[in-house]
Amino acid sequence: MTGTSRRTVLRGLAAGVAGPLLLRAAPAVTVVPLAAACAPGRDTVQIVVVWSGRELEMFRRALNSWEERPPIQLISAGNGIDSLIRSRIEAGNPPHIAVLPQPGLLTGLVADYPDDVVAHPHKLARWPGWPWRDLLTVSGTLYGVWLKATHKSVFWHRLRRGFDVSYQPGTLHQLRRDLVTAPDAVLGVGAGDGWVLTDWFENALLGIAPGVYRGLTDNTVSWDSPEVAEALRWLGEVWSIDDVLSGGPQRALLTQYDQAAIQVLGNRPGIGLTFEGDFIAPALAPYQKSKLVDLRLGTFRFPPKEKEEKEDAFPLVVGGDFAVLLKTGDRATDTAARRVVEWLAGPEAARLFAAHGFLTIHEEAGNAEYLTSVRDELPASNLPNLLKDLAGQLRNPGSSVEFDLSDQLKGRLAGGDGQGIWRLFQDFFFTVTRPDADINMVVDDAQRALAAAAPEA
Amino acid sequence: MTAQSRRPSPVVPSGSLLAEVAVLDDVGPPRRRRFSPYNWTGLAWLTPTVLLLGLVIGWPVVWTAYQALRGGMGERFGQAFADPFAVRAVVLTVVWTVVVPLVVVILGYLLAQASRRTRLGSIGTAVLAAPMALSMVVTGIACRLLYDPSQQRGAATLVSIGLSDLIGVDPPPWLGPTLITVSVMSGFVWAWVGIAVLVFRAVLDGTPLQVIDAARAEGATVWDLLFTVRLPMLRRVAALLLALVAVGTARSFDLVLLMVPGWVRDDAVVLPVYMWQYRGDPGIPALGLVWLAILGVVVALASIGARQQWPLPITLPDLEHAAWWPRRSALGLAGAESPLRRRLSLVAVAVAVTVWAFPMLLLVSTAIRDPVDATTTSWASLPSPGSFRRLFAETPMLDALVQTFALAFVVTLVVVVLASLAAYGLVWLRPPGRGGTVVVLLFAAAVVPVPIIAPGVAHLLTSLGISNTPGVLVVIHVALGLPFAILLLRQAFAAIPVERLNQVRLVARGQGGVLRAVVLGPAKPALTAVAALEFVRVWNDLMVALLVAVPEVALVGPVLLTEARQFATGAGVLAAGAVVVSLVPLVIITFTWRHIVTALVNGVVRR
Repeated sequence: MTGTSRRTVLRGLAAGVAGPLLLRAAPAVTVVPLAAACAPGRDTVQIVVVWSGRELEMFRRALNSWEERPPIQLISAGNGIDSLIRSRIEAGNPPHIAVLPQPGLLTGLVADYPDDVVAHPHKLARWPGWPWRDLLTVSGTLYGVWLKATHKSVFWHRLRRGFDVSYQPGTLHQLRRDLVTAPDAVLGVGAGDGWVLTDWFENALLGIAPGVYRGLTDNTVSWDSPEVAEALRWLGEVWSIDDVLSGGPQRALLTQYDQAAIQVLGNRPGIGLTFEGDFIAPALAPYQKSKLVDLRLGTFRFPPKEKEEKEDAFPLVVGGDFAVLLKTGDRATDTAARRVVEWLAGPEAARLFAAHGFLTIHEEAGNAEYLTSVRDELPASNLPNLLKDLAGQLRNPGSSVEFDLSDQLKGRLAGGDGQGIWRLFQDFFFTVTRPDADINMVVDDAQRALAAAAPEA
Repeated sequence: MTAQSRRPSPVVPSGSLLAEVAVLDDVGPPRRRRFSPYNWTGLAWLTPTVLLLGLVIGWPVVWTAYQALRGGMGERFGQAFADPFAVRAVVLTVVWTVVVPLVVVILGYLLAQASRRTRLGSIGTAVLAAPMALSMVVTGIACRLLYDPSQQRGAATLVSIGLSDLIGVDPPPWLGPTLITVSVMSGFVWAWVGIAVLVFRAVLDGTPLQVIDAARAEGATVWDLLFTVRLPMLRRVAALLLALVAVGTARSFDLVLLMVPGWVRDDAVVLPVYMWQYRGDPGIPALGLVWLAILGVVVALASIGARQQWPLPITLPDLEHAAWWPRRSALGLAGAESPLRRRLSLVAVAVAVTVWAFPMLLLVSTAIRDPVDATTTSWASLPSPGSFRRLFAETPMLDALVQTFALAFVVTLVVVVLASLAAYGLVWLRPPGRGGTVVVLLFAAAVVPVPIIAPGVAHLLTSLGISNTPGVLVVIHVALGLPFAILLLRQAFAAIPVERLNQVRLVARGQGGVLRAVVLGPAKPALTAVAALEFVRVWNDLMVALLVAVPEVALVGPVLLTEARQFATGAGVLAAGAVVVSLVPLVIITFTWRHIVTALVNGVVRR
């Protein structure tokens, strides 16, 4: 229910699933009666979000802490958010604010409905460095504000001999060698969530050939390229190290990302490691509280192929969610909605989001404290500081930063439970970890399947 | 102890709901009972129903067929079967439609027989029947817990690993590609065997013993009895149950979505899920037709099987007045049972009851633990309200409970009113045309699976410029509930003796007054059954809620599905949600089960 839970929803179940939550000044949450669900008061600002579960709840709590807020209704649309917004615009009844997970959706909306998406003054863009501002700018105009950002290039591990606080492999080769030589290394891979595997692949490829990565996002490079094969081969070599996968490969394919982390970071012998985005931290907090996961953890960055002088050049795959303002034509609520977006773009909201464990890239929130919503209960945990470091890396992303690749794929490659690139990588994981697997053949097959599913270059 | 010692059921109409499958040899209620033999006002009573069913079910089916056949058969079917997984979905759907009903019926018969011989019978029947009231979503959650690959949660995994340690092989995971279909099917059997047990119990208890005693006196062996007496007697019931369960396998949709991890989705995919996942594809209507054909063949075979040349005089136990299911002694089971068989029956029933109770106990024991404990530790941890607290604090479950209740209430009200009007019109104000045709159409409308009408409904809404609103949700639910409700009420109305009706007619004003007096009087039990079944159907729905997703409305099925995305770390909250959601249908069914079983079983036995 945490982190990227929106991505684990069935792509086929595009329909919105979580329900509405109505915020008002006096009572925090009001139930929307069935008959009145479509008209929750004339002065209400509607916000459509992709989140559900814990992520939605954290957003709701952060909004609730804003005392001068107008009445707000949150609608969770899941992966169907794009079609929901489009059909509501067509019907002349758009929501006031949409929170979107992919810049590509914004570009599409602006292209199709230039009069309905409201431009923002550039003063709202208070995020340092590339790529944040560019991602939300369409032909010179800023159309969105970032609410939170995601860091997808980090390993988490227990602090043990050889894997201490300062451990950082310099190259892909070194990371693999360390995993082979450490006698008791256990890797938690939540292969049950297909996107965990594509995140692995994206980092490896970005560390090998950034140009190919960019070419795959805009479909100018074929999945047949040798760099893709190189990334796949490295993944196959790591995943098939003897006894490195916690519970074995079949079990890994039935384990989801958060469960994988809890398994290996818990109180058991050996060096537990897992590769997850920053969003694993809030999910781990209750287990630290129960002493089921170590209170002090280490992190290191996904290494590149060649040794780099500075960490700046390490691959950095990012994601994030941003708010877009839509014109409804109702002056009063449009003004209120603009006020909400300005607040969401400001430092106060950034600090509130940080308190609930979302990474913020707002330039005035660099000193924001993380996870304070549970910190009283976790005095000894170093998770808040680790999150602060990760947010710092997002603010200065260096030279090798790219937005999540699999989130930008379309057609038959688009990922979903049991579908598209998620499924192809799960199949690859399954075959490459078999004891009798011929790695070159498996890589060839996987590459052929990816190329066949991709649209014509 | 003979048949005479039993109280006869007050009303045993000819033909009925289950028997409607066999409409081809059933002319419906005797015509002499009609008020007005043939008139057009009957049509007026049917108008709202005809409009609604035509729009929401009839037209979408025609649209699907048109889309499938447009441009020649070859093209669309070629597109549909270009994907190897579509072929697999068709094969798996055939397996589901044939194997699962057979398992349910055979198991149901054996358990019904065994439960008659033991004192555990009543409790046993209740435990076996309880899963029927639960939604398929809840069943999916319970089974996912049972088969979880972690030994801390998955009791079945614990057992299979324990067994395999004995014989020294590595067991495949229950939710892995090899066993996934078996696991999902077991969930379905768990949920549906209860109805087979109840129906067989009712029929077996009503079977006259003279026939069996006479055969025994002639020196017939157990096998002679089975093949020459028992099976021919039960042929009709078994055939109707097979058809009912086969149609019900459309509900595998909920189970697959809840139970099957993404990686093995393709290994378990059945047509409802496939058609839903790829609902925009051009080949989908063709697959819809294939599925309709599969269902059609099974139902037709069952109707042939249901034709009975030799109807036996069966008397139903008087459930309406019984405190609980009548005791064995009251049923006059033949006294010549050997102690060994009785003991074997006791063991069989005890094992079945334990196995059937287990998933429910697992659900409750997971729900009453802290969410962190539910994820990481075995069942031994201390109880805590933590999961329930998080359920209501962090998920929209409270909203969903209120709104689902409101939706189910409104739909039930509308269905009961419209179905009463239509059934009344059909029974006593015979509209022009053959009554048989209407019944066949109603039956067809009751069994058309939602995924087949889904593309047509979506197209209709788009072309009318209607977006998904709560109103649309109500209309579609009403249309889906009406056919079943009308069939049930029609039987109840037809069973009212004409003298009784004449009495009513003397005091009531107009046809409306008569209808009111009938509905509140002699037809009240049937009406209660219809209302209860309808409410529970809407409450337990997932498919319609996903088809007509209204983002502003929270419903319990989709909320549970959302929570199930992170199954391991959400197990506690999810189990708590499943328990809370199950309370409503369990209470409703507990208070109305007599009416429901009577209404369902009445027509199976004929005089």
